[in-house]
Amino acid sequence: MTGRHSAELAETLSVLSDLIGEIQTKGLNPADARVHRLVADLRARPQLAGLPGAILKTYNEISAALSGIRITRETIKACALDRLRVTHDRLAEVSQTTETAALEILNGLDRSLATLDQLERQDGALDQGRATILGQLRNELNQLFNHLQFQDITSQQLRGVIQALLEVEQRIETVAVLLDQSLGETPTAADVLAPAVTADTAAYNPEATVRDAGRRQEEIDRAIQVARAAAAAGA
Amino acid sequence: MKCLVVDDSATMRRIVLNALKSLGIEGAVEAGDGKEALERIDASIDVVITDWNMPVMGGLELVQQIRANPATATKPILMITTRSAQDDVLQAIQAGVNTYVAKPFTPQVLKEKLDQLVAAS
Repeated sequence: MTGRHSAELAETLSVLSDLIGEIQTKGLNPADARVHRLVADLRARPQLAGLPGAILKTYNEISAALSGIRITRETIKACALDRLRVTHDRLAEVSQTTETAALEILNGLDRSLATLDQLERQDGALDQGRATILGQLRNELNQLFNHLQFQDITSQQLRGVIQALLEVEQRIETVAVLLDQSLGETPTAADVLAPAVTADTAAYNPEATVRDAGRRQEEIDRAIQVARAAAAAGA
Repeated sequence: MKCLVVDDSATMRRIVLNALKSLGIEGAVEAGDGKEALERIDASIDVVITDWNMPVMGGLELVQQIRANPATATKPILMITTRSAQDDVLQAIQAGVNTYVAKPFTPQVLKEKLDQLVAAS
């Protein structure tokens, strides 16, 4: 129903309700026989007389509900979807930033190890104490290398979060489209969001973790032993 | 020993290369995904060290392709990945992976697995 039609209906119902009210309260007694019969009918059936008023009240409540839906739809579009889009852009940026930083740290570690190599070459036959210290320093630098594995793991975790946000965004968009349809409106191309990110779910593991690496490796080794024993037994 | 290191993360490739270097293994070749790895693999490669989750072509498909090619079918393959569920491990072994390392790994674990590969071959 368009805005113009609904306004006309509201006005008609209001006039009818007022007229019936006047007939009931002021006791109109028009000359026209048909009107006279209508007035008598309305007096005999108070529920019928009250119908336009009830319809008008229901209409007003439905209009208020539809206004609420419109506001919700606009709020969804303005706040939730935009913020989701910004959030997953920022998460992607975090992942990129940590990769850049990790690579810079790796470059620094490479230079440090190269400097150690130089020191060892320059000194020729090192005394035992000095050799031990340089060896310890090399081990520490190599450990630092290994600790940077966190960057790959957190990057995969972030991609899992981004994927989850994408799915939430798509579900909210579906709700918004359904609200549009309930208002009798057709979503335009501008209303339907293009996906912000094309998620390649095979390129990351959302379950990636730095925790319990030792225990996980033991379980992997056990699983492989069992699999090989089973294969050998079956062969 | 010449290794082909396959991982879409540049950080991880550097870390694996450094771990190999600390074990005295130099001259490794790198690839950013399975497709690139297939282009780089040749007779000079002794061991393939690959990740699982990669764009374009993942590690599992890479392993299957390596095993399907008679020229590379017997190459030792070590998978280094964040996927450590039993089903994943079994799937990788069935695809043709020889041994499997969970991320984050230590150079000691990497050495142990490479020694196993060398001994087996």
